[in-house]
Order: sequence, then C-alpha cells, then structure tokens
Amino acid sequence: MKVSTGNTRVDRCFQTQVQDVYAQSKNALLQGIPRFSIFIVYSFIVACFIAETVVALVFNAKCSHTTRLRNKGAVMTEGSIVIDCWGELFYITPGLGLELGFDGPQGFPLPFHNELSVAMFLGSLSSFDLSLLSQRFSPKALHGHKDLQRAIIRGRLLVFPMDTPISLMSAVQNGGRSNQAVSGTSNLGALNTKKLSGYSSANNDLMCVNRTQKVIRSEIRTVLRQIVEQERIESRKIEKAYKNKSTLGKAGAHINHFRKGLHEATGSFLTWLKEVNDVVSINQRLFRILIASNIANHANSDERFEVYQKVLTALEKKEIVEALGFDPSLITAEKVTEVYSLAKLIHDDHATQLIIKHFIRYYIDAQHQLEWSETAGGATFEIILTAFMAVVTGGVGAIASLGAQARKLSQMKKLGELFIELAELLKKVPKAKVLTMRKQKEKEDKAQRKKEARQPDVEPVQSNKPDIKSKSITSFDEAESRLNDARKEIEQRKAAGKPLYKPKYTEAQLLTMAKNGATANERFLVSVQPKNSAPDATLAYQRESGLVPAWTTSFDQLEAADSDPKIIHQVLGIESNFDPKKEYVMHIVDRGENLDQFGNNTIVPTWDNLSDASVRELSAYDGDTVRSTMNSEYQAKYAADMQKFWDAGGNDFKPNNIEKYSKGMSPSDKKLFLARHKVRTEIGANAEFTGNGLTANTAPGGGSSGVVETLSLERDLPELSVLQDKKIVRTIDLTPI
Amino acid sequence: MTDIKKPLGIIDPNKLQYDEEFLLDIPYEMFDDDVIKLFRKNNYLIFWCDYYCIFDKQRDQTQEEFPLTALPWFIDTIEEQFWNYKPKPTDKPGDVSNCIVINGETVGINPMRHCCAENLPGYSFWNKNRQGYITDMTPQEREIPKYMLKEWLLNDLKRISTKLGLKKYL
Repeated sequence: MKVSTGNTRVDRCFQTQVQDVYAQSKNALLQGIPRFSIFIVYSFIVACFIAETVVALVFNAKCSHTTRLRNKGAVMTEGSIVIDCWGELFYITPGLGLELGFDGPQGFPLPFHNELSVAMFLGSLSSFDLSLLSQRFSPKALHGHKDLQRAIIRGRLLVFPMDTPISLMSAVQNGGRSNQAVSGTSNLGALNTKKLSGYSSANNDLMCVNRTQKVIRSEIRTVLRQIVEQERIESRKIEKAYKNKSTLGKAGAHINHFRKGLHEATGSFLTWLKEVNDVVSINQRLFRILIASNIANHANSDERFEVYQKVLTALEKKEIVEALGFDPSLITAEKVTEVYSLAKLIHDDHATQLIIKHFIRYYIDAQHQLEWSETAGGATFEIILTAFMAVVTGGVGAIASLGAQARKLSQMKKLGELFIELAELLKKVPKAKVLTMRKQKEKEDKAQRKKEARQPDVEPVQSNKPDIKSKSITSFDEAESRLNDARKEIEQRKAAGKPLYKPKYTEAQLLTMAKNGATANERFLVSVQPKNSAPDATLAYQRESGLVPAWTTSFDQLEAADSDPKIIHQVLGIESNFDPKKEYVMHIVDRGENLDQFGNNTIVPTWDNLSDASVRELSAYDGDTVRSTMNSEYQAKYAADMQKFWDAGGNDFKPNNIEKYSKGMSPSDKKLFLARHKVRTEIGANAEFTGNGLTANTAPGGGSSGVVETLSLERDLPELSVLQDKKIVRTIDLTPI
Repeated sequence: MTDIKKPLGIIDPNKLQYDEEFLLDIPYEMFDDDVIKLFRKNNYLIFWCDYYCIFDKQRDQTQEEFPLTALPWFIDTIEEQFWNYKPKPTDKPGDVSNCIVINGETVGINPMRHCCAENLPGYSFWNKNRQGYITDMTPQEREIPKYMLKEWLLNDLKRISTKLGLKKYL
C-alpha cells in the first residue's frame, strides 16, 4: 500500500509502515478487499499546511531516515523520481501528491459503492494510519471513522488499486544500469534521477531510468490525474460557494446563472477542445483540401502539386492559429505539419488513446455531467494536439484561448513534452506495411501467376464433362471405395514424382460453391480429428488446434485428399496442427436423404451466412450490432483487441475477464466487442476466421484455397458413440501414404 | 426498445437480508479462483459470483438475476429443447436457442461451443432485460458447461425447484 500524506512528498517510511499494517490486516477483509493505496487530495491549502506540519513531526519522530537523508544533503526535488533510496523506489510529487506507479488499468480511483464497503476498507487500517488520516480529515483530529468515511464518499480521500510500480522498477532493473548517486554527498545511495518533464530526459544517458513507453504513459496518466484533481477541487470550491449563497438567500432564484458561471469557469477547457475539434475534424479538413485543390487547378500543371501542398498547409495553419488564438508568427506552417504528424502518431497509439479517453470521462465527472457527457471519448486527438501546441508555442498561444483555464498551461506543456518523448519511442517501433487495395491486388495476381507457372503438371480439374467423381456418394461403402480410388491416384502421382495432391475443383469453382452455399446441402459431411476412443467423445469440439473450432466440410470436397492425414490437414489449412505421431480418423456423417438426421442447421461460413445465423442465434443481442461485426474490417479490430487482451493475461473463455476488459472501451466499442466475442464463444468463429468460406491450402499441387468449409450449428451434439450406433457416423482410420 | 429492469443489488452472502436465501454452491473447476453461489432473493433466482479481476488486481462481485419461475423453464427447456430436440424442417441456421417472457423479462438459453473453456460445450442462460453489473449492458448471462448440468447441476436445480414449490420433479 502506498500512502501520500503530504502536499509535496511521499514518505517511504510511512508507506512501509502502512504496508506492514496492510499485510496484517489483509486477512481481516471480508471477501478479499484488494490491496489499496490511499491517496489524499487536499481540499484546503491552509488545512493541508497545518496538517502537513503535524505529519512532518510524526514522521520526524518515526523516520530517522528522512532526517538523516536531509541532513546529509540528498537532493529531493519536487517532481523527481527517486530510486534505490533505502532500497525502495518512491516518488516525490510536484504538488498534489499524485504518485507514479500504482495504476490500476485506468489509473483512476476505485469507486466505493456504499458505506459498508468504505467501512470495511477503513476497518483494515491500523490505528496509526487512522490517526494520521484523521488529522487530515477529522475536525477533531481524533479517530474520526465517520469523517474518514465521509471523506471517501465525497471524493476527498481517494483510494487507488495498488499495482506496484512494476513498469518503473523493471525499467530500472532491466535497463541494466547500476543506480548512480546524483548527490555525491549522500552515503545512503539516494538517487535523484530526472525531472518528470523534459523531452531531453529520454535521451539523457546519465539518468538512471531507461524510460520505456510504459513509464512515459504512466507519467502521462499522472499529469492527466492532476488536471482532474484540480478540477475536482475547483468544482468543490465553487459548489461550496454556491451553497453558502443559497443559505443566505442571495442566489435562490439564480441557479441557472450560477450554473452558467460554473460552466464558464470550469468548462472552457472543453469548449476550447471543441474549437480545436472544429479545426481537426475530417469534414473541415476535407473542405480545406477542396479549396486547396481548386486553387491548385489554376496553377501550371507542373506546379500543381506543390501549389496544392502549400495552400493546404497554409490553410491548416490559419485554422489552427485562429482556434488557438495566438500570433501566427510564433509557429511556422512546417511546424504545424510536424505537430500534426506527431499528434497522429500518438493518437494511433491505442494505449495512450485509452488513457486520454478515461481522462476525459473523469474530467467531465469532476464537473457537471449533464452539460458535457457528449464530449466523452471524442476529444482525444484534440488534447494531444493541444499539448503539442503548448510545447511548440511555449504556451503563448494557449494562454489567450484557455482563459480561466490558463493554470492548465504548465500541465499541458508537460503533457506535450511527454507526448513528444513517447512519439520518439513510437517512431522506432516497426510499423506494419500498409498496402493499398490496388497494390494488394497486384501482389495477389503476381503470386497467382507465379504459382500457375510453377505447376505445369496440374491438370485442369473438374472439366465440364460429367465425371463420375463429381457425383455425390450415396452410402458409406461408396465413400470408402472412392477414398481407395483416390489413394491409388495419389500413389501413381507419387511414383511419377508429381505433387501428391490434385485438387478436385479450381479456385474459381470453390469460390462459386462457397458463395452459393451448395456444399452446406451435401448429404455426407466429414470431420477429421485425432483418434478418441473415449465413450463421451463427441463429433465436434475435438480439434486440438486451440484456434479452429469444429468446422467440417463435405465428403465431396475432401475426397481428393484421400485418407492421408497430412494431406487432409494441408487441404483444411491446419497443417501446423498435424502431428505425425498421432493417429487420426475421419468421421463421415450421413445426414440422411432429407438431411434430417444431422446438421440441418449447416451453413458455409461466409461473413453473410454467419451473420444471418449469428443474428438468429444471439437473439439477446441487438441484431444490427451483431451484423456490423461480421466483416473483415471489424475482424481486424477484434483480432487486435483480443491480442491486447491476451497480452494482459486475459482468459477469453472467462466471461468476467472479457467483461472487465471491455470496460476500458467506449460504449459503442464495448457493445460491438461483446457481441463479436459472443459469436466466438457460442458459434466458434475466432479472431483468425477469414469469412470467405474456404480453407487455406498448403498442400503442394493445389491452389491457395483448399475446400469449402461447412459449419453445423447444433442445439446439442450427441456423443460420437450414439451417432455411430445410429449409423449416422462411420469412422475410418487415416493411414499415411 | 428493451425495458431495462432495475438492478436488485449485489447480495452480500455474509449478511443475507430477510428475503434472501442461499440455495447452492456451484463450483466451476476451470475457474477455481471464483466463488459462485445460487441464491433466491424475493422472487428472483440469483447467480452470485465473487471473482478476482486480473486487470484491477482485486476481488469483485457480480450476479445474474432471473425471475424465479424461470428455473423450471430452464430445466425443462434444457432437457426437452436441447437434449432431446427433434429438428424441424422449418429450422433455419441459427435457430438453436429458446427464449420466453416471464414477468416482463425475456430470458433464454443459447448453446455454446466454447463454454468456460475452449471446445467445451455448454449453455448460456441470459436475461435480456437486465444489464450486466460489469458491462452495464444487456444482457446478463450465466454460462454453464453441459457436463456440469449433466453430471449434477440439473438434478440439484430440480431439487431446488421442488423445494421452492415452483415445479415438482421426482
């Protein structure tokens, strides 16, 4: 547990004591109240000053280390990270006692839902902690449980989930640098590393902390918290003043005016962000592009592009400087371009975007929600841009526009410096190559041409002439006989030195079949799985890929792969799951002449088909929401979200993990994510699902696609033994060639 | 527009109110950190869950609420509409779930391919008129693997239904 009890410092001794107390009282917590750190925010400067004096006396008596350190002249500058001091890491805050390093996922305080939970929390603290807290929050400075409860409920005392400053610590440790004493006079090894602010710090090797993206983001969060806390204090002051006026009967009839004043005093930051939004919004930008294009049209053809660029840049600059309200000579057009590109870089960083979105939410919560609820989550880019501008212009411009919020200037500058530092790190991260659709198409065509050139022996398959093998089978015996024939053909090709696999259908034919869904109406389906003799083995859910659910295909699609397990895995696009040491079987499913024995709920899983089925199945979810997740674009987002979820250690089959993770998203994103994940858990389409209805073939001799997949949606799948007894399933062993 | 019902409030198992009754412990072996209990609260059936959140690094509680009379419907639907279901020719792909409106609340059951673990079949029991305590969005859902129901849970639910006088099961 970490406790900040001072306006200007965090005392490690105190933290250690509270940590001990915490350890002792941990078991006393009902239902496992988690580790907390207490975070105190001052409401009244005078009260804080007095209280701090009291606390300092207590500390001086209890923590001789502090005194010793000071006496020996170790420098503890406000706003510095201090490491390896008494073997511990701690942070001296620059004003509001906001610490680094114990961030929850969002880095904001825990909500206490009722008085009981507050009482339980306070019950876990030692009398020593309580007395210290009481000095701050109880008028009598005695054990004032009720005062402390009130302080927590009213948000004067904030409790943060303790997440030890792993990022910082590991950055220090992993950096492999020994801790170097900044102050040569200190024998205690106290190290003063660097100011939190300062772009240069990222490049300063003399500093102890090898700053990672995590550390910088943590600092960004800290600065944003400070802004929120200032806002809360400000709001409380104004509300208090208003209440006093009401009591005296001075303002009873002027609530609207007062609220307006409140709005003007505290809301101008958001108003300003909205103005910046007008500048950076896509519509406005398109409009400026249109103007630039029109002007460029009048220029000579050789100069058009140059003219266009110059005009556009000038227009952008004009808009921005007007919105920010400062002298245009302070910033060049090139600088605007640079700031834009840096802001874009930061804005594309998902983690930072989340931090800012949360900041906006908490900032609004700190004020009055009704007026500003619509702004939440929508001003991330504007905040980033503002911060950059504050640095680039030295803050001059922002003063004019921020008005009453000018006090935020230093924080915005600090934020800007951190953003710049983060941008420098992000620049070093290799980016995925973005292909335009045209280039993508060219690439695919080229690959296809190469493939065709490499396969002169691939005979045209499935000619228009009637072919006995294109006829559907009508019995299990026929199926086995056809597989034997296929095996003979493969053996002949092997003897001739040709690729073993010869696809039955061309790519185009496969695509057509996937689109018309005919395969879903085949009588015989197949499923290939590792051998499982357990009595409760089921037809589906047995695949060990860890990713691919029990998709099946029709016998017609797979027969050309014979009964060789490796070729089958290659054709089904799951070669990486093939283990030559394992025994495999093919389950052939006879759905009956009228397709009523099994799987009358079968589809070819293209996006469209899956979308229809999902909307029908997930009737508890909004149909439009489910449908809007069933496409390649959203699939990419889902895959990225899931990757982050896994990186954070989440279990995608644990509902409360998924739900908690989604809390970090905007309501609309959360809605889509939860609906899409439901398709994943209920139906099976995972983050790698392609949605074209085809498997990716890796068998030499075949094209890029293997077979048309089918997906059977069942209410309940009987045990395999039951299906076998009922002659619905015949299982044959797969023997490698 | 879905009519969102007011949350009943998370049950405190250590301080049960006069209208709350503990019914059953439901251990999920794949989530051994979680404590899941079944309660009755007035006319509601509550699946209560105490879990450790890896993101917040703290324990938290959530619950799913269903009208009490949904219990026999759950039991009968699982047995008749899922385990002994005779497909109809009119079924369309995705027609695999069942729902009912009880006291103005739409509750239902969906089959799941990956219920609480990969490749583990099971069912999702949902209430469309109630928002999840974690998500603040509809529906509330309780996922139960099929094997748990088959092996013991369904029998316990039948016993509870009989005990509460909802529907008698032999």
